[in-house]
Amino acid sequence: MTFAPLDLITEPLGYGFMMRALFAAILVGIVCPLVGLFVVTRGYGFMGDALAHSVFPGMVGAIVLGVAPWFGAIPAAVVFAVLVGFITRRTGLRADSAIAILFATMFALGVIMISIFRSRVTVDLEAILLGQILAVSVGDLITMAALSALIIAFIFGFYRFLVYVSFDSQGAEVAGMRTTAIEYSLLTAIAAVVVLTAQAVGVILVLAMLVAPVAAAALIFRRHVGVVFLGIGFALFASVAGLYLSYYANLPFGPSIAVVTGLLFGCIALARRRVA
Amino acid sequence: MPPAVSSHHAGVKIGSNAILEDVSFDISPGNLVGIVGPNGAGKSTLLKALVGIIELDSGSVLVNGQPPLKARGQISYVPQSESVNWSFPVSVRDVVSMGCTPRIGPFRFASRRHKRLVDEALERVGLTDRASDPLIELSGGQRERIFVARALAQQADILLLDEAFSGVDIASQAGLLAVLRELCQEGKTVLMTTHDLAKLDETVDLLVCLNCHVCAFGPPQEALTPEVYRELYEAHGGAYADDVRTP
Repeated sequence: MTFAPLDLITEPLGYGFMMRALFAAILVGIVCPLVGLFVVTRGYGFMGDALAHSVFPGMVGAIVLGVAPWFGAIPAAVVFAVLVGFITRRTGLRADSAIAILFATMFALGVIMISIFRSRVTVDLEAILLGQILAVSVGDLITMAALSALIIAFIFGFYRFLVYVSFDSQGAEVAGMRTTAIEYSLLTAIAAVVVLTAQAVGVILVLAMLVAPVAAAALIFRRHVGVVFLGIGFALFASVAGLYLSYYANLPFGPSIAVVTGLLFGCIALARRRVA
Repeated sequence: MPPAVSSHHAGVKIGSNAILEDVSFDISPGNLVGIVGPNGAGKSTLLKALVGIIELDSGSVLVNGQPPLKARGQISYVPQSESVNWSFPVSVRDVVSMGCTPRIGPFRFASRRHKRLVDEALERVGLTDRASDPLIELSGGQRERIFVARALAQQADILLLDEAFSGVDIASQAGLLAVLRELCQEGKTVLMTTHDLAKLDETVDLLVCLNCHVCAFGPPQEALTPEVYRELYEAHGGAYADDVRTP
């Protein structure tokens, strides 16, 4: 028998769950850097992490009700975003403090819900926290693809607006742009990506895909277009490499992908050479 | 023709503190206007009120005869440096192209006409050869010229600059002023806040001396008298008022 490196790549794809996981990993690898550009350059990293943890009670609630986790995660993300706005306006508190309060409260609520409903339904805590990409069904994949298409359409359609508002919000407002609507739309897109990614890599590791590939690309390119496309390249590499690593080393997918993104960023930070 | 910018008894409060009180002036199109005053005098607040970012508590402001929110698009605003996200990875051309963004609209590419507008704006401010450079590589003076080019690409009638000369060397200031002067000669109106009181009579057509209220308004030789200077800067070193050149 001869050794065929190509078999290492194709052999796992003989399993249906691996093919579905590969498609899911590709979708995550494309959408994360698209919104990740704005997460990284606008300092939304903490908010992205908090958002990912805040969808936790929604996912638990959906599982308890016997529906797909999406149906609980999306409303939870909306509640989180609305409450951040409400608390900052009502109290004058800094946004990061409001985010921190909600982060802890909502995540703890999810843990309490698991404790309460433990006797009625089995909630796989590890799957929610660390991802369940190998359990993605065809139905999940269709939902993920539809959500990804909406996110991609929004980012490409409003890309110039998002760049202007992210660079100079006041200038954009005076030039006649509806900056508040654009800001909320961007937050909604980030929330959608977080929900989509949480399904694959788990709520704890969403940030790895949202930040690290774009941050690594930003060490090389100094123009947003280059950062986004190279970020997508890095994210695709990390998600697919993470998938194979988890398959061959029998490791959970979420942590595998997070380790790959971290190593990728570390290597580029050490060996970086900027281009325009 | 209505004044390009007018303010009638405008007032702004934050809590119980009056930031602007009874501010009135009319500025005709084609003027280069300086707004001077000490820190906390309300200069930036006045600009923000003129563009509708801050709401008035009393009085009114009009831009081209319209309330600020209706005149948006006719104004280009260059905020203070700290309001801009310099870490966003943009090139010089990207920033100038932003001037066309509202007109291009969503889900559309820039047309040849928009690209030509950007090329012309870059040429006007002398930065064509730096168009592809990342913004962070440019000096403070060059960055201000990029924002002026953005206003040109936007085809704005009125340009408001907040502390445009802050951290900009004298040679770059002269270059920027020359561009602004040209724009005014073409009928555009420029309002800029500044802390630099030297040679104001040579650089601006009109001066708004502001310290919560308008202490004086008019040509700089008439507006910035030693008395007005004292009123402006009494608590900020008014003893030097006699050094101010009087007509």
